[in-house]
Amino acid sequence: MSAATLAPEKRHVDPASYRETSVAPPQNQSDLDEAARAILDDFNSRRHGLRPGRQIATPPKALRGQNNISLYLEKISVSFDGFKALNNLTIYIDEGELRCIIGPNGAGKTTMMDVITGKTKPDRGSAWFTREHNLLALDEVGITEAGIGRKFQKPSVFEELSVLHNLELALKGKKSVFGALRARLSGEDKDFLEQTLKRIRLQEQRDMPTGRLSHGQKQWLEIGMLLAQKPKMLLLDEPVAGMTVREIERTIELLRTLEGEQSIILVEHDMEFVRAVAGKVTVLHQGSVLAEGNMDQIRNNQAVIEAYLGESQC
Amino acid sequence: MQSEQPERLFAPSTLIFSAGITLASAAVIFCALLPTGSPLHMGGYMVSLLGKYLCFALLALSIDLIWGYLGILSLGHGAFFGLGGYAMGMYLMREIGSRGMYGNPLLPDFMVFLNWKELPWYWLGSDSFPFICLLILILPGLAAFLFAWPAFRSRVSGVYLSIITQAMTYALMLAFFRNEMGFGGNNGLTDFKSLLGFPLQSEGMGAALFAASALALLLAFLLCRLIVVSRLGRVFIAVRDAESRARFIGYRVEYVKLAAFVFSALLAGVAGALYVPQVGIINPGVFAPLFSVEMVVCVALGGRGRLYGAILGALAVSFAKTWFTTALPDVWLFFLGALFVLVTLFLPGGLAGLPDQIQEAARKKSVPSAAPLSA
Repeated sequence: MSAATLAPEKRHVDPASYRETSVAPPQNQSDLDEAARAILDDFNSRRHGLRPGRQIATPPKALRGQNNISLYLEKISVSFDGFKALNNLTIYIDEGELRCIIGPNGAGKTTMMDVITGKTKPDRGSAWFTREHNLLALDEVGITEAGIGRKFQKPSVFEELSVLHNLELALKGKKSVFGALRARLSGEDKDFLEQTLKRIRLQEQRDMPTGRLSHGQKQWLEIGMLLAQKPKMLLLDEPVAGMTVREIERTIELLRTLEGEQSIILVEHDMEFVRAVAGKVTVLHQGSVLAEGNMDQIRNNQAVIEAYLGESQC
Repeated sequence: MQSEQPERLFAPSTLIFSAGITLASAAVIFCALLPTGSPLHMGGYMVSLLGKYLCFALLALSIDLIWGYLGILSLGHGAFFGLGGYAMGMYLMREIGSRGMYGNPLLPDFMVFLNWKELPWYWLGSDSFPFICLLILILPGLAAFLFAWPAFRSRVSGVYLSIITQAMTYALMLAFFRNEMGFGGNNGLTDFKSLLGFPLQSEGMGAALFAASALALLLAFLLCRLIVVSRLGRVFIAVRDAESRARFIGYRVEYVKLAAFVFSALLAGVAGALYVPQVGIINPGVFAPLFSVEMVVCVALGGRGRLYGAILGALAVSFAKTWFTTALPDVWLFFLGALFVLVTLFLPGGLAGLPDQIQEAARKKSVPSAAPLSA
């Protein structure tokens, strides 16, 4: 981070002007910005002996002014072999907010998650988690340590370990080699794990290898593992995929109890589910934000109807 | 691999196994120390043969720790075994002193033969036993670190990693074959006379080396056990089964792998160091890929991911090898290959997994369709 203070202030388009609009900025303007930004980035990275593409920056202006923004993604672009998975994506998430991200297949939802968690490095743009963490300068573990937890689309738990051991591994704290070697569960930890087990309704299965859990139970366990990390922000990628109606209901209950405690970003396909958890909705389309607002506004937005709802109804 | 309850360090299998090793070793040592005429007396050849098996068992154990628990398949662990062995070999060469064929008090025979006038710098200090003990740990540890750190940091894994471990040991073999390398080239280091001033050929020395090997194996087994029952052991399994998930809950996978790999190399190095005085020679053959692969086969046969399985496998294969190479020398490699195929097909858990497999089969018989649990 020391280099961050040395880096000269970068040119930013005032993000406030984007915040309230529900439609993405005009394409021409952003193309110009992008070109200017690329030249500036290149210049800066040469000056500081960094590889081009590696971003080190001071916190963006919008963050310096406002205290309650938790996640700040500005003008993120990612392309894979010419295909633009994300195209000038700009999103802000407030602290404690529950935000649903929807969009048709290929809209860039999962890529956005990958950028936030460090799995994919963007070609350009800036990503900050609160005012302290430049996400683009951290690796996956660094981002996890900063307080972002992610649940993957496909439930991925450690199948040979018991439910309790899965939670124990996720537990916030000693993650170094020697730390893990010496780690013992304190009474406090045990209570916390019990409480988490209760919350995800897996008390009876605590000593069962997780490979024998049902699909829905695995999804809950993964949410439980996220909670055990005590993150400040949860990223949930289609948490109810493949769940029964009853399991979905329980998941909604679970998410409701979490709201306010952590910021949550929820990527979901299931419109019913999105309506049920409510909160603010962002529609992604072709790698950028198409619209933002509550569910009713979204449903009446002409651009959204054309791009997404229209498509799914035919 | 199988437990539903949190595992304890001294689980029943561990206790039985440790006790078994201790008793069997004690019996061997007792028989070795009996006077020559007695019916139970065990000859020096037999004792050092068994001691050699224990060294292979220790090497197999070190492979199982990283393969069975972390999923790192090293096809080049013979390299670390060899480096430990060569370190010990250097000391034994210096111990020969003027008893060598050329009678040079300072230079080992092969250096005199090559017309070298003084010791190469890397042989300095090799006459000091404490220094060599350090070297036995430092050499394999350093080699493992230098090899593994770039590999794990750039996230090389799976079959690619296996291939480069194989390339590493092959490269070492080629290097050690060269006379200019200063380690006896093709012939390696041999013709040892004594260790710490005691003659190597004496029965007492044979028994002592065997005891040291047994002790090292037992200690290493318990150390590995200590690791796999700790939270770190569960991190190993997590990394093995879902590496990227382990990263996303905050474990630096490359550090975990590096630490395990280096620790495993240290065990392999100790095994090599104990092996050399018992067989009386170390040559570049230990760096041959075939030797490393044979060790991996031992682990697979014994049953990986159980620690004691690797030890059983190494002992069983070593016995079989000794028998075959005297009785039917041409058949050995075919037999080993066939055994490997058969075990893979019919005993997925290896020899050590056999009891579980039988239990499972019996359970399935009694309950035709065990309903999968779901809520």
